[in-house]
Amino acid sequence: MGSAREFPYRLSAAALLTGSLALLTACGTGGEEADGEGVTLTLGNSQWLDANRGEGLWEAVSGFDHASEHSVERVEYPSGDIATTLTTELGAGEGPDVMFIQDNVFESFVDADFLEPLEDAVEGANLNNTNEGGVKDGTRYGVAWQRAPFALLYNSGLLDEAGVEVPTTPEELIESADILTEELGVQGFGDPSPLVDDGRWLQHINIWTYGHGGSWADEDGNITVDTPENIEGVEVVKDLYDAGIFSDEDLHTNRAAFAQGQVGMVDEIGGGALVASLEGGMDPQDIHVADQPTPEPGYHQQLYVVVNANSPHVEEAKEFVSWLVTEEGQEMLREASGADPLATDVPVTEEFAAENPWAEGFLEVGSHTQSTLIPGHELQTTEIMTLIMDHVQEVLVNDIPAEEALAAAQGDVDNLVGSGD
Amino acid sequence: MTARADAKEPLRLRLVRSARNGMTPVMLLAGPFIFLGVMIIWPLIEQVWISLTDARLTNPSAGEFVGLQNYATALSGSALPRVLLNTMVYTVGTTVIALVIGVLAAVVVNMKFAGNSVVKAILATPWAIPSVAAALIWLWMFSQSRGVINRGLEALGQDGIAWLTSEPWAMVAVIAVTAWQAVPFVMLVTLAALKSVPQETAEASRIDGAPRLGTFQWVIWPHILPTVRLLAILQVIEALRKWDIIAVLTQGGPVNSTNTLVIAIQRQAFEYQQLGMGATYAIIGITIAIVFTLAYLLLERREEKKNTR
Repeated sequence: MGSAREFPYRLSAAALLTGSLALLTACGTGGEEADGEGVTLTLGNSQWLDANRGEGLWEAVSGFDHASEHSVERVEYPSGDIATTLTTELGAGEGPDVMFIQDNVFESFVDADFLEPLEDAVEGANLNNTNEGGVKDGTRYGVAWQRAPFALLYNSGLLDEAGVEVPTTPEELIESADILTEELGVQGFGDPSPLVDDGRWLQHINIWTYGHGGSWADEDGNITVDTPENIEGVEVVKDLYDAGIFSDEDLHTNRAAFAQGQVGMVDEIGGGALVASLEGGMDPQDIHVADQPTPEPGYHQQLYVVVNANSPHVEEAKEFVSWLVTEEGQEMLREASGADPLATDVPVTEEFAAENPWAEGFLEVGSHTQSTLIPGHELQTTEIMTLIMDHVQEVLVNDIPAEEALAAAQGDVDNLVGSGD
Repeated sequence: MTARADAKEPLRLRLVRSARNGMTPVMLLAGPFIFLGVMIIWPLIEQVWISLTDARLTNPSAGEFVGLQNYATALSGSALPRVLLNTMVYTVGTTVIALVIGVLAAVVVNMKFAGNSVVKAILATPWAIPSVAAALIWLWMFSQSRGVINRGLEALGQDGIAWLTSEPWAMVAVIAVTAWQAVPFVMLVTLAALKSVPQETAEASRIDGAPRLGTFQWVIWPHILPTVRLLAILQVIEALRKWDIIAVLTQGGPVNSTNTLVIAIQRQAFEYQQLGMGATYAIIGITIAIVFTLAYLLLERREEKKNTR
């Protein structure tokens, strides 16, 4: 055992060692930028983990490596956790240099001053209308990465075999789904039930409410939950639920089942169609897309590319955004994105369109779908939709009339918005 | 050292020795106190403070002081009573089931029979499985259309049940899974208590003609009762803070029927980003846990007094 006299020497030695290591570390970090070479940008996205298409998307953005002196490194987030994880990371002054986030998250990040303005980064780019939501109070904070409209995806091989037409009304949807199940033993309609995937249904209800001309607030931000259009939309969801055509499996299970030819129809985004196309379980020529069986178009998900204002490489991150909206960047992204509308009007290649007949359909649907953000209450959208869906679940489970449930929801949301303001 | 020798020792050294002796307990306690202060007390104070602000997740330190407004909103709304009722049903359900089955299992495996060790190992398995993995397995088993449980019911000529999407089955399902995972812990701890029952006392009771049930009731049960009481309070606290199984199986639904306090906290803080309101729910939960713990301690003290009379 060492004597007490040895202690100061040991302490000094430890301090010297620690100091040396710190110095070496500092030299290593500084060297990367001091010698004029590029930096490594971190790109945070949940899509890097997507089956089949994740690698393709990463390859597309890796084109920046060749187009600049910088390099990129992926940071993967599970899709269910990305919003919370990024929020806490950015709140602590950390986080990746560039992020790919949904529109509701984008709103809260702008509100919290987490994002770097991008006007100069996209100067001269031919941005289309998918980028309109990226501007807040006259300042651009986000550029469209992908817009993902929902449409009715169907397996034409199964529908032909069962002898059913593509449905154009909710009644026809129920009938077609039933025939597919009875005749072929497959899941007729592979959309997760509102009770199985209630997180997804905070947006997904809009297929049926927007689809019947509804909205949750008017242009002035007045809450309009209990309108006849919304009531009609919820009644349709109740009819579909009572008919038992919803799936009790989650989104990913249904997506995989569709790709294996075990599901006839599903409400899907272009990414889901691409996954099915790449999976190899069915002929891509059998994948087709149609409008939702509702009088009006439904909704889309929107992802934005944003730059972390706390990033030590803000200028380099903006260079990445500038490259992404160039013709080269958009063409590389188009190849990996399938048919989702992008920041510029870059068409799908003739070859891809020929191999995937569903592609043009998604581009067309995406031109007239609506955002799920509630006008004037963008920051509270999730909270408002949770209150509404709680009452919609009462309709489904406890047979409360839709009119009564939405009147109660209107009261709850009025209280929330009133207390929130 | 003698008193005379002490007197010869210089005053400075005597003061140092005296201070050292006096400081020893303080120094020994300092570590745990610092740990508790940094890891529990300070976060708790911070939590109380956040519950008095309108802080949002995006900027936790920028919340403005709103007094007791969050508490007033929570207590006057319709959501909290439902959440508290769910929490009570879930807590009582999981605790009672885990204790009854766990204690019975311990009594059984405490008997001598062939394959005893194998049975013990099998019964302990659920405890060794990570909660999320266990919940995912049960999620598939509870599937209405493809789950093995409904397939079994259908084979028996019964209709399948919407286990996770209907009331009250969703609550039944989450209670069953939670209890299934808790039973091995109760069993193993009770088994340890059973092993410490003096064999000569149990044997004497049998020699005196007491039936097996009587021996258990009058000799064994009083011996393991303090352990069972401790297990009860541990299970109550565990149920109050259980999140993963409910989050995976039902996410608090359907129609909020499995929305317990921790699920509500997570929704407020991370989905709605209302950190202040989330902290308010958390403080209410901590208060309930403290009340249960104090009740347990009072009960223990009363029992101790009764036993020492």
